[in-house]
Amino acid sequence: MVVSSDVWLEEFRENARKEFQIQKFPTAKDEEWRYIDYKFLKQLEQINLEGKSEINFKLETNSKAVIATNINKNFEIAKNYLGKIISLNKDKLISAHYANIGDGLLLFLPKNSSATLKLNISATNSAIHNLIVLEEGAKLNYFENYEQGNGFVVDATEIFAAENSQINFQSFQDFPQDVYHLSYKSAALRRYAVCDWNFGCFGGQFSRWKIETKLEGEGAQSENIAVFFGSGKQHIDITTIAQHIVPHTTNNILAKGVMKDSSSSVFRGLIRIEKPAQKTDSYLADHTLILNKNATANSIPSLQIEANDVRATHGATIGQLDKEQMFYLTSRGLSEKEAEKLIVSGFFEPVLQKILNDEVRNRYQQVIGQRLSE
Amino acid sequence: MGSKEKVLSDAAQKQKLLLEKDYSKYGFKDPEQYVYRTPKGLSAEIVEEISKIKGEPKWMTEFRLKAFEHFKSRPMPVWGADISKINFDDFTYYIKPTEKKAKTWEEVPETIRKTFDRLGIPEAERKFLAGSGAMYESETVYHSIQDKLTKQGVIFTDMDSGLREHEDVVRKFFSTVVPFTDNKFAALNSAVWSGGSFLYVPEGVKIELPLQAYFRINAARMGQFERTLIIAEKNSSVHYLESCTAPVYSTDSLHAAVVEIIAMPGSRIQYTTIQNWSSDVFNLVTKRAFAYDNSTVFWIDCNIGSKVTMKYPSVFLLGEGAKGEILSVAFASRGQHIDSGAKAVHLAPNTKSIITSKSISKDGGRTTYRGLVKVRRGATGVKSNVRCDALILDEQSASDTIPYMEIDEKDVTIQHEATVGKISEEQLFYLMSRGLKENEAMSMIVRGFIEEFTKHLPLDYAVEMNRLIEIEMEGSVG
Repeated sequence: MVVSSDVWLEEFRENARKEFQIQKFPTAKDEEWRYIDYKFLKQLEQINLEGKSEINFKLETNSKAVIATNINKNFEIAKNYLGKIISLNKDKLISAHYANIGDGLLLFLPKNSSATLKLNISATNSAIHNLIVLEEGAKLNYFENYEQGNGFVVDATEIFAAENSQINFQSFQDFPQDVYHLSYKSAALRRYAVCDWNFGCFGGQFSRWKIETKLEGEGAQSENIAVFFGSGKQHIDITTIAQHIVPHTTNNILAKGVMKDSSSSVFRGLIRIEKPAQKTDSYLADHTLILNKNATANSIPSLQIEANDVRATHGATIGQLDKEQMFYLTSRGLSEKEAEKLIVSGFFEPVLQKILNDEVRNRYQQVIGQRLSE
Repeated sequence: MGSKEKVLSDAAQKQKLLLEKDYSKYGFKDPEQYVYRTPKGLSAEIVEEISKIKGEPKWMTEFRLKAFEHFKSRPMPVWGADISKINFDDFTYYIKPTEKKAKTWEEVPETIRKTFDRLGIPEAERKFLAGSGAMYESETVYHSIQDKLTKQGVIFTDMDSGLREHEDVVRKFFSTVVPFTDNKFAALNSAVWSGGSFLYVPEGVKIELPLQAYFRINAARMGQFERTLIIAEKNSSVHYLESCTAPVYSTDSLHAAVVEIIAMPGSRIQYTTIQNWSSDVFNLVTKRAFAYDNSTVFWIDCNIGSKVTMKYPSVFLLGEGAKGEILSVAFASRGQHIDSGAKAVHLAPNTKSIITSKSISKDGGRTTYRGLVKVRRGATGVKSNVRCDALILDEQSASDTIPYMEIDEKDVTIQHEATVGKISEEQLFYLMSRGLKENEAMSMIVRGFIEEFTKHLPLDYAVEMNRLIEIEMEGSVG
């Protein structure tokens, strides 16, 4: 992909390249990678992420001032935001991303505008970077789709949500089962901003999401629903962090997943409440069902609480299909497979109910049904 | 505002007084009169010297030296509480307080006996213990056990005598549960260990009353490295209780113990710790149990004192039907970081674990729960339940919860729950409207919060525990 010759961009990438040289690849001693066979990452040394990518989007909006374009085409705006939330020296992988940054979406919603955007991404060895900027009171309904891909895909999304803005962020990933996918998503929320995330994590050989919500303004709210399904030899890795920086912010994280065959998962959740962030209400829950003997599930739901007048809770369960339910259903004449399917869809139902968009919800149900029948 | 500030400063004043009062019980110092002490710092020569003084068999000397090599090569852990300020050259690793271990309190040298008198140990022994041991600096100065238990074949003595008198048993089990390669501080303990308890309960013997060990550090810049080994044979049962205190110095002391427990099929071991080290002790302890078929290991681990504690009592569930229960209580006050927790490693089918953690932080203290539940493939029918609750009593204090769940088996039920918050205003209001003062109400709520723990203690300990909490809670209302 030929990118803009913008001098600023070249400099930015050069900095990231330098950072890539300095930073070290993760090892088993790195807490974040302790459960993962990280050796494949070394390939990033050879592969450059300037492969082929294609982004298509459809925008519906009530305002002519909304900007939706490829970031290459409007670096004047992009450069004010790029790397401001996810810094390029965070780790070696993100510096690899920034060193090769080229394609991606720039979406800018001016004050009080509203828009719906649907984005389709196909990528081969690419670094995709999306920037979403919401000015005061703007409202965005966002859908992204990662279904076609090859090799390494490292994507990052930075969301800037100004006062009273609202974003409904829906991300669906069902890559072919040979893709390595590393995804960084981060949002900074100002006063009374609302960010509702929703992730469908289904595809790829190795897929890793790092989702960070920074609640920087009083009254900011976030909800994050993640649905995941692993089968074959897939590894699914989800980290979700809620960082409460100021008082009176609310967060709710709920992850539900099923691990089949010899797939493995790592769920890391973290609620971090900084000292000034009194009156925080934060919740974190993750539930994993293990369907087969060879599947593995790891869960580390952590709390770091520096303030006292808060409510921070988490719950986690890992288990198998309820034997009584199985017995009940099979005694009613259902085959084991059918019973399993029914119980799993019952397991996902309460989270899927929270997904308001019918199309997205149906899509999740369809993929889950298909994976169970395989 | 002015009057509030006054109340605050009054509270601070009161607290200071109370803290001083507290230390009058635990914080007194004896003159440092010792039979022998190694020079400050640590070297292979000192390790050999300790072994020589104790007249140990060659295998133990070699074991110590190997462990010392490992200790030197092992980097400091980079996770957990801040222990970077530990200067290993600054401590004295071995201090021998008396010539010989006493069997009656009368034989214990007067100054040391007075210490334990003030701590109420002989009295407790008379009242409700089946046996007790007292360790002062590096050596056990006193050990006794009821005659009827000795007749039943129970061995309860200090680890050094255990090695001398029961070498075959010790050699068979020593370091099998916690190898010296386990972590840097287990390696250090393996190199310089001294004192601790050796407890052997023969098949079928059920000891009704608890056995107790009391650990006391008196000297400044002292390292205490006790080593405890408990073996409960088939269908036996025992409750072992340990307490620890030290006076306050302006310099740091180091306590790095290793405790190994082996619960044979059908046995039950309860191990209760009430840790009340002074606020300048680094308390870095490795405690682990092997639980065989249908045995039960119950750790009760209460940490009130120390500057830094890093301690995660573990149960390896090795036999079918084994059960591990860990109850962890942490109370961190000014300048304290208590990083404690629990580990349950399920390696056999139908094993069960229950972990309950209650932590309280105040006056800038920090508590961390760090735990692990691991299920190995093939360990079917495993059930594990983890519950962590933390109370943060004021704005300066903090709390972390870091639970790991590593599950390689489908036929399991794993649950984890945690809450962090402050004392409920409703509960406070209720109690105060019944005429309690705010600090009384708070202290009552805190006692209620840890009741699950106190109810497992012998009565006298439960009372003492509640009193300690009250002392900690006094003047905590701002």
